[in-house]
Amino acid sequence: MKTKKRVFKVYLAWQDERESAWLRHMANKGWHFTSYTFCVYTFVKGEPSDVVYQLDFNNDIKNDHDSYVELFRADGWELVDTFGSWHYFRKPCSAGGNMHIYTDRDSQIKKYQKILFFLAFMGMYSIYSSIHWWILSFGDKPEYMQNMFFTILRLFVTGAAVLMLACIIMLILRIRGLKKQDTLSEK
Amino acid sequence: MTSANKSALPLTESTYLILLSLVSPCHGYAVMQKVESMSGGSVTIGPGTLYGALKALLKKGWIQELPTDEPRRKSYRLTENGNRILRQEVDRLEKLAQLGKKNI
Repeated sequence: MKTKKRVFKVYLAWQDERESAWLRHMANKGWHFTSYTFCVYTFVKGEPSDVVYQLDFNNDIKNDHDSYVELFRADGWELVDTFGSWHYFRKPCSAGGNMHIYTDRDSQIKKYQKILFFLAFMGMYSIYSSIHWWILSFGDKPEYMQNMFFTILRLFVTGAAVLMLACIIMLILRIRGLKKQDTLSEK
Repeated sequence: MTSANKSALPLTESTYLILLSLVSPCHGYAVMQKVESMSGGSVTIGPGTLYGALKALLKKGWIQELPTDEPRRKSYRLTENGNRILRQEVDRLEKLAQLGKKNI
């Protein structure tokens, strides 16, 4: 029987809630998440159990990593994996207590703003380069643009730019949606 | 009262309770426990919310980190400025509450 499996699945920056719901669903079936790298999730087989997953985006930890993880650990959250600035935490439902790492609207908004800021910075560059390269490609091409490798690179960067633009728009909508909820839920 | 402090009010409920729990020094997780017990269990603060809030309060100079030999469990306490902000907020809330009581 397989005890380990890898699953390819794409969740974009604004879909963290859907992503954590899926990880929980997998745990319910006995597949426990162990690591993530570029859209590939690794699971190990175990007893089915109800485990809540939460994703944090934090690019501001620097020398503070231990105390950051400790704060979550003290509240029953185990750090499963870190990918870039994304941190995957989990907590068994049986542990009780809070099942959310963000408990008010303000801090939820701040999390999405952090992701937005990060993506806007990265996105701006890729959007700029792809537009720049497409414009260049209509005129007299510089020599470096005439090979196959460059065409592939250009398509790749354009694809990334489109994805980032989509993420940026969806994140802005997400933040606006959260701001519109005028009642603060404390639970 | 400086104008910067004035615009800091009102505090969010989470910030208010975090500041209140840091009147006496305590570490991060103790803040979560204090907030829960102070509010009679009606308010809980998750670690994501708390981590961000502590960072922001440190940056504003309303709380300070205390020296510790356990770097994993950092302890914090209100600064004088933080104390002043908290008092101003309590005054503001008190006035509002009195106004309410008088008119209901």
